[in-house]
Amino acid sequence: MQIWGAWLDPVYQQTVLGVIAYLSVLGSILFILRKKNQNMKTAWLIYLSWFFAAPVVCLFLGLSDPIPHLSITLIAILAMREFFQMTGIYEDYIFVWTTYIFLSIASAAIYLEHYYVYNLLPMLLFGLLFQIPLLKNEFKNMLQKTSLCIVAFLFFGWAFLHMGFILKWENGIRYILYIVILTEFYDTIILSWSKLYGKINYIEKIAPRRSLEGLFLGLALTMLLARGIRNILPVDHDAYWIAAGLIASLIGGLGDISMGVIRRDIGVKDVGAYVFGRGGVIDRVDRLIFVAPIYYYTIVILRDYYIFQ
Amino acid sequence: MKEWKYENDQWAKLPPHLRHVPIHAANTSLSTRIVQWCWAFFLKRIFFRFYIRLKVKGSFRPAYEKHPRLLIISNHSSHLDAISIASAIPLRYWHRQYAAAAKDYFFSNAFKAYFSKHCIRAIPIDRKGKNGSAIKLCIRLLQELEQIWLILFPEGTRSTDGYIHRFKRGVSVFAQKTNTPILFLYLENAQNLWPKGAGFAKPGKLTVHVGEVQEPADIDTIYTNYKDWVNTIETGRFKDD
Repeated sequence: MQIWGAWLDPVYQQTVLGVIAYLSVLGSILFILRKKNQNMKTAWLIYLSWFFAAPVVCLFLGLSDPIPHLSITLIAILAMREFFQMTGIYEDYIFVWTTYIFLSIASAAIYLEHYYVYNLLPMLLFGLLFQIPLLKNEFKNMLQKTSLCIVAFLFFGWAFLHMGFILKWENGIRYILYIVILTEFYDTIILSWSKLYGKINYIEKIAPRRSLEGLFLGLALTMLLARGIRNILPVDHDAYWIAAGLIASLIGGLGDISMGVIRRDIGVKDVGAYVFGRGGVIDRVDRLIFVAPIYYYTIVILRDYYIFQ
Repeated sequence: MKEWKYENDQWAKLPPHLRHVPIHAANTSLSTRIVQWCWAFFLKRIFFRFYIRLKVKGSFRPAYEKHPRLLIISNHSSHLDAISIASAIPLRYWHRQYAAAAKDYFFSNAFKAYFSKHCIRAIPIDRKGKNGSAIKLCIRLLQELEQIWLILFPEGTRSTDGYIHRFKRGVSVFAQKTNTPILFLYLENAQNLWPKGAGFAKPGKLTVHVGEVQEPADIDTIYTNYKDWVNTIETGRFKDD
């Protein structure tokens, strides 16, 4: 049985090597500077979380079907678990497990290509969650718990699992790797530039660490990177890398800020349950929750457009 | 509009090293149970069977039947001590056992913290803390939990010379303030297998002696009784002999 999947693809190998080289160079710099001040210490801890997560994620995503799909599902479950901890319903097993089960069904539906089941799931979950208060004969905080479960499912079971749809394409893993690199790159640029030189803060209450200068620089550099590494994409057409660059920067940025709104409302900075360094699973995937569905549909539209043109 | 109340103090307000402590965590999560089961399997069925041959002399059963809350004390000279005690305790009693562990060592990085929290069920003891928070935490645990066997090493740190040193006051404070009895254990040969400073344990034999249950008392009485009991097993083990 062949298990190496995308690892046999030279483009995948080169991309992973590139990521490791980038992390090694960045890590060496941050290791030297980590004791200089608090900002460097924070940057080092955030880096550490990627240092452990990136090689593991690359390893599993590059293996044969269904390992990449299962890996994405596991990431979604871990992120959902963290969301439940953040919002305080983690101990309410019936709500939590109902949502986990629906996430697993959504994942299976994508894998088995039963798209009508996948489309039906949010509505089914919505109906089922409202039966739990009847089952428990309890009404206190039930609206809150139901709403939070629906949000959790829409974030991790619906939006994020669009990664699973992308995986089903030929060379789907390369589309995923490409958008993840761009999204994380944009975030690194906007955060570091805003921290060092940022002056104009456009949403101070929600995202005080993000400046307008950082946003524009991040957008520009991400577009440059998108062009520079466009050979990762299986399709050689300018529209694809331009769309991916714009989505990674603009939608990824919006996703990050939207998650910031939730965190601030809840009063939690990060849960950081299992990922080493700083921050938890949600910190790693928050941008992708918003990026994944838009990226998926954009590529679908672009494909249809260029096929029928 | 009325604000939603998120009952997330365990995750949002507590530092990571305290989130697993049972007075804060309402339930043990499924993932923790799985990790604990795997750890128990490795410890009991592999490590302490084939690599180190663990022998238990005495029984935990009388203590289990009579004492849902118990302080378990032992001599301390090796990293094997806490895990060998855990391995000596039958799996059906594991849900009760917790080990007091130095925060500055067992929670010093993410790997150790994960292992300490999920495998040895460590209660972090801040040895450098000036406000007595570690003592307060242990007392609270002993007062609030219906079932707890707290493993303590009353010497405070691992012995480097092979002798058992005088006990620190903590154990008598916990016992007297919470009226918790104390179970004596004696670990034989742990020092030779994995002494302080060595990289890893050598294979060999290790014996856990299970002693009697001591009622709460002052530290001198506890130390004297422990010494008398250990001397019935092996003489010349105490520094002040």
